[in-house]
Amino acid sequence: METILKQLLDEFNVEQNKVVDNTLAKLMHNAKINALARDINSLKQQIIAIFQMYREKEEFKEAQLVITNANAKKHYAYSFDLAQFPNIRIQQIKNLDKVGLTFDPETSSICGVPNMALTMDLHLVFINTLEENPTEDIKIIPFIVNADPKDLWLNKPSNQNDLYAKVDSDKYAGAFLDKRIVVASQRGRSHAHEGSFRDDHFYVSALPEAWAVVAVADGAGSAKFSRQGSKIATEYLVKTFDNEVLLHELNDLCLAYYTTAPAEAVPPAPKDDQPVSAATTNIVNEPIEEVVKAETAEECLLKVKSSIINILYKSVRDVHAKLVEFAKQEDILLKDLNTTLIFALVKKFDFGYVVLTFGVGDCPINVVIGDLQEVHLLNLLDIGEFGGGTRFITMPEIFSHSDMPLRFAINRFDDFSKLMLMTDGIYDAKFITENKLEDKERWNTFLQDLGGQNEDGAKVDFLTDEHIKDQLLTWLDFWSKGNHDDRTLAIIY
Amino acid sequence: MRRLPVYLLLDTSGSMTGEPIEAVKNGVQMMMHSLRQNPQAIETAFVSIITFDSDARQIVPLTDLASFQMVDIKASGVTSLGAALALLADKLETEVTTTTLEQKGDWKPLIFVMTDGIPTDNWQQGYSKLKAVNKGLIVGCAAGQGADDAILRQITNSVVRLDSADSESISKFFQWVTASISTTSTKVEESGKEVTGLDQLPPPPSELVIVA
Repeated sequence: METILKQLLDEFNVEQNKVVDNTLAKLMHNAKINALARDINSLKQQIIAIFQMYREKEEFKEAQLVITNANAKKHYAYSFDLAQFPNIRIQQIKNLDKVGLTFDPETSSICGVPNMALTMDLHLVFINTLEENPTEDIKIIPFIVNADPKDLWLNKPSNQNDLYAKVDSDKYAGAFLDKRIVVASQRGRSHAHEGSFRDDHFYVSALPEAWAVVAVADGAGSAKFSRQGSKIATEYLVKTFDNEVLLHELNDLCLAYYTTAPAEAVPPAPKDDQPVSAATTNIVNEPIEEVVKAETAEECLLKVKSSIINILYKSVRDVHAKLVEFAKQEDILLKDLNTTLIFALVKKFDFGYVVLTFGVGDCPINVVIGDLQEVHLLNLLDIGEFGGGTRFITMPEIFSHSDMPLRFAINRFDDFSKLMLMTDGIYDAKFITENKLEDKERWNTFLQDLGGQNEDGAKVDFLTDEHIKDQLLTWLDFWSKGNHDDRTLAIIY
Repeated sequence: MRRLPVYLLLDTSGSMTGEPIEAVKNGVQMMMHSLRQNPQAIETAFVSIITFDSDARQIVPLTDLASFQMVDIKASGVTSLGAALALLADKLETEVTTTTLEQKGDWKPLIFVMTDGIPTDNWQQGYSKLKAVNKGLIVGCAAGQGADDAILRQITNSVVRLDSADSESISKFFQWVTASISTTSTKVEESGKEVTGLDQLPPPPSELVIVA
């Protein structure tokens, strides 16, 4: 009360002296003055309340309000947090219906499924609820609806008049020894988007002497004509084995390898006239003789093994030579044909299936025994620390590298339920890392996936042959974020 | 899912006030808008923004394009490039996944450093910290006459220069950054190969001069 009077006197330039002080002292208890002062205070309160009301609106308008981005075709929900603006009420949001979203003013939330991708400004129509006659104001905030990634991918056919043209997808089904085989190869979305070629290739063939072979190759994305490299690698590889004499020799070697167990290995026949033979009967010498026997047997097996691998090695070497020759003949660089290569050369013997494999690059060959009792990765994968560390059949250095023998494997199985060869387009998406390729749980999921347990319901029915190759090709279209490479999958079942 | 981490280190010192800072903001917005239309980039590229003036701040952590939200930036203060490089080193360690037996790590990061001035702090200290952890490609951009490309050239072999820090030039720079991110995300997805130098990025527009 005193303050109000003093402020007033100041405002009216009333000087300060004893008379004024005395007057003030008297007025302090004047009822009328007191009532008027209360009125002034109340009016001030009203003014400041109106100011705060408007200020809150202005502050709301200026505030950086971040609203989560939406994605087309995916459910969206967002609630505005108005805790800082307790009296602000958003009445409606203009433009929202354009994308198929609705706004609920009661809960200050947006929800719905946006029907298209766009970037736009939302107009928030808001009031301050403290106002007697609220006036609407508008706040503008940017809002983004991302496209469904699937809609962003184009599917441009490759130019079939181009050099080394290749069809965008391929499929095959048929007999494989006493089993069946189905193979499908699909151009990756990244290639389809650009209208470029599929770089993967596969080739399957029955061979003389009741052998059969399947080869899969993944042409390097960075190599200009890798589509042709993978084609030559697979087709020529198969051709190198289409040789009766060679396969006959391979028959004998496999027989020798699997029917000559180390314990039963025949030692060189002792010659009677040798004085040493008498010595061998000596008790002291017996253990030595045992060692000699075992070594000889092992050596014998090793020799057989190396003969088998040598045959395979020669074929692989021929494939490399063929690629070198092709590059020369076409006047292109050998690395323009860069491609990985895996193959399985299989025959059913009395003692089981012999599966001879080779691999260069990052494509796995796996065998599944029974109902996933066992699963094995049959080849060495070339995988670099930061990816991109793969090797190619076109690289001469692989032949001189010490790990070359490890690229080959000789396996025998009484039976198997699936033998699979795949390119990284499949395994990157389904197995992620190399060490999961022998993980039974992951394989179980993968087999169930093939059996139709996936978001598209794409199913490969191994019980009926009729549509299996189309089913596999359809299955290959699966969606996997970040995995849009060519995909090739060969299954012997 | 292997990500392509992209770090933008942007100079927000006082000299960027006005047209340049507005151009940078627009540049980032246009870049994000354009990258969102690219199916490979939207799945692969993750973007982070670090600004530096009297201090360095990561204003946007490494974020996928679909969720990315640009934060308002203002120009003021001096040019703490060293602090920005040190902060980047920390972020590379915490945000970028390395390859283990269990998972395939991220692709090597792509880093763009844009500055219109001369560092006012001990940039070598920040740089030596960065050098110890960085495996990715750093592209330096000296924007305008006040920028010293000699220091950027000590940080990376890939340096471009903008003769002027006007909005036209800055916008062209961001268009080139956009094209570079697009190309790289396509390249890593298709060939599994990462870019290691300027020669593997799209040719820059005429406003951008390659100096190293």
